[in-house]
Amino acid sequence: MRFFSYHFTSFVLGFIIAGVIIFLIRKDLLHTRHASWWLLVAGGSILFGAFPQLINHIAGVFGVNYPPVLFIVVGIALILIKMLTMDIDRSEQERRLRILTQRLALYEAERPGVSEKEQGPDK
Amino acid sequence: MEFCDSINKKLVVIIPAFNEEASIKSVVGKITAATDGDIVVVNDASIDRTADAAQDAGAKVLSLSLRLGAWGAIRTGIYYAFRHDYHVAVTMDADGQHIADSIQSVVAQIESNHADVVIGSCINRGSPARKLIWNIFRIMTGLEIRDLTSGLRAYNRDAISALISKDTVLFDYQDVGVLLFLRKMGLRITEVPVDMVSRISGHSRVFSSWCDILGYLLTTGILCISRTKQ
Repeated sequence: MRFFSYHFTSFVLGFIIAGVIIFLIRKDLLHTRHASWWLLVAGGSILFGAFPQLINHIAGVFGVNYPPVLFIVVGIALILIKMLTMDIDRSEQERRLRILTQRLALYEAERPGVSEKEQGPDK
Repeated sequence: MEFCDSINKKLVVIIPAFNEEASIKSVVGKITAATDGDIVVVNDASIDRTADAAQDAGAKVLSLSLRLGAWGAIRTGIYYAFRHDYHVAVTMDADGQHIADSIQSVVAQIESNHADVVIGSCINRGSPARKLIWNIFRIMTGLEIRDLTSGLRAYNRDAISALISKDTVLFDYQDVGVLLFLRKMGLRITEVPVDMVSRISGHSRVFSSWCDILGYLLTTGILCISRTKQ
């Protein structure tokens, strides 16, 4: 039994994603720099849900006989791109963390006594 | 020792150490007897008394808050050498495998301006598997170095300045990646034969398990492919 078309599901999903993103930003749980990507995905989901003929037209241009397949393939590609950019970001953070750790070691060694005073409960 | 004083160059010996409480005092003591250079032990977030033992032996201790691995610790020492205007930095292992008198051999090549980077090489110590790996990496990279993984190295001021670049932060080991970077920077690399002995205690941080060996081969292999002939 089928209650909804995938267009409707896509339309609603887009709104849910957009709502969650806005909520996370309001709660300060997500940096706005990362939010733009997900809002773009939500916008695309709403757009293709509201105008299903758009995906049919694009699928026709690229020679895809079954339009939902194009939707899924593009979705997977976007997820892969996002994962790759996340790993690039993680690498940069790792670089910064290592530099910070190395500089902290020098700072503490050059200022004996400071390290003991500044040691928090996490050390 | 005269070889360093005679030409009035500042020498620092950098020793990365992770849980080397049993051997570090002896290692620092032997280096102190062999050279007048300063000794810096980089304590890589050890959970034993490595830092105290090194300090008791007379070394300057830099303690990392997080474990960064062998290269992360060495780079901290290199950064220290750069900031304190040392002209020559020698890196040695903390496990007692390197003989303190070998410092003279590697530094002599720097002093005579034959090279910017000198590797104390001991190809006899490698197992057949390790030699095979060295050969594969040598072919992949075109590096004409026989002992790619030796931790006994001397760097002159140019090499020290180059190694504090942002591009060296993400290396994990002081081996192929570092050598490829130094070659890219146009620095002269050479190696001198030295003797090495069995470690005083513990086991290798790189070759401690088959899983670690596989991880090392994979990451170094990727480095060889991506960084060669840039």
